[in-house]
Amino acid sequence: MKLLGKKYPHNFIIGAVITGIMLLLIIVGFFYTPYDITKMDSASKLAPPSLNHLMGCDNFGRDIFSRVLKGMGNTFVIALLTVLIGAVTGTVVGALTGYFGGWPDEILMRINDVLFAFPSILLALVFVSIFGTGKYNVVAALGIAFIPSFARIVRGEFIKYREMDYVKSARLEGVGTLRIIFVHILPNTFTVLMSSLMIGFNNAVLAEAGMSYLGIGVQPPDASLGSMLSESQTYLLSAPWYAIFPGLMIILLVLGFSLLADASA
Amino acid sequence: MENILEVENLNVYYKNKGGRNAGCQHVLHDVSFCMKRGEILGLVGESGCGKTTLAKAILGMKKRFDGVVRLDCPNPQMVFQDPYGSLNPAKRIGWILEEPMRVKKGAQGLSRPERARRVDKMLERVGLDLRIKERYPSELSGGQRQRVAIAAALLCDTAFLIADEPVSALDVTIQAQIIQLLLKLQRELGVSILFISHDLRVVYQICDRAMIMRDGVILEQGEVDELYQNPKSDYTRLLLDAANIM
Repeated sequence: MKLLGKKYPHNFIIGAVITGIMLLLIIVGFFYTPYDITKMDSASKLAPPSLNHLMGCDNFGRDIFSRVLKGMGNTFVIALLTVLIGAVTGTVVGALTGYFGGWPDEILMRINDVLFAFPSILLALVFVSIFGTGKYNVVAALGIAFIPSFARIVRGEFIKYREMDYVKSARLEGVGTLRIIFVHILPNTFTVLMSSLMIGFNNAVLAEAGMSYLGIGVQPPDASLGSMLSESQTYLLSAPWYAIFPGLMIILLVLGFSLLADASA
Repeated sequence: MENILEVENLNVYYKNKGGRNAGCQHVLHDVSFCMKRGEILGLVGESGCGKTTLAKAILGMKKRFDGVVRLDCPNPQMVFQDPYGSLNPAKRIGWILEEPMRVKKGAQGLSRPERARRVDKMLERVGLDLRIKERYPSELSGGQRQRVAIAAALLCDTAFLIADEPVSALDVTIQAQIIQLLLKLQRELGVSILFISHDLRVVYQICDRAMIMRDGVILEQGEVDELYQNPKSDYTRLLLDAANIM
């Protein structure tokens, strides 16, 4: 598909449109919601979608659209911070171990293997059970759980690049080790890293939704897509819109980034 | 000192794979030679005979060695065989060429316009268009890349260059251009070049003296004309016959 004189793959265009709309809704949700997300209205309990309430109301009569806007924001911020912690720490660990090799590499990679052996959500559950529930504990728990996958990817790239002639040239030119690692080699890993970031972001969205669904993520009355899904399951048959809209938003958020990741790979 | 490089009884070992007790492999055996300032010295031998190992030992890239290496040049440089791997694929040519000057500290550091001026001058010297600065290595041909690699090495103000089979990955016409370029740079800048090759013809064209290496041992060394006309070892004779030079 051609756009502004440049050719883009179809999945990039579709992914960019979906992600763009999602980001717009998230930004709007930070500054404005049609209703107060904690305001209860007994007259509107489980009200179906209407012009007043675009996505209907929940069991407390709260506007689902407003809560979805806020919940998406919460899910997005948690996923973003999670991926940032995982990617930045994982990149530094992977870069240093991959470049230097030797026993520090062996030790850190074996710790990595141990972390890798557990599903990230299980690790996060252990962390939360020790340090307690809440938005920021979820960020820390998932962030730590995401470090191994990024470290492994970056380490592999560094092992490939550290033996290349241009790196040997740089050493002969007198370039310092840290500059070689972060200025000469790291930019060459960005293509692989970008795809991993997008896939990691999707996993983080799903992990956050999963943890909030289990009741250990974002705490009520604050909204999160996962916790809304969890609350809605009792009313799946009587008020299906309560489950459909938060679920749809999770799907669209993940789908948009998946298509972008696919196109950028 | 008149010699820029003196190597005495150099022995280099590679650690065998398989742990601490796997032992070492003896790769270079009592290598001794010296190199005069401003000369082009050829190092000839078949693949795997230890030519690159010797180069790396001279540049201090090998840890396991004994013997003496006296190099009277603080910043020796190397031009590698593979022009596709010797330039950073993520950076533009201008950035790559400025990097050696950018990392110099203190009084040696240069301002940005001065760096750009030097890069322009060097690009002209190696016969490249100035617009190449805005391009990435993947957009250049093998010959252009090798010229850039030579320019980058010389921008370090080096007096000693190791050219490790710099033309073996290039086609014959480009080979001739790169050889002419190296000869011109040696004349203009007086840089000493250790020219590694397995091609006796190329060595004959470019070098003042040459050494023949086999299985980590220097079999003989001397003036190129003398070496090619009166080879002392059977191996040198075999190489010359195979190359059909004399």
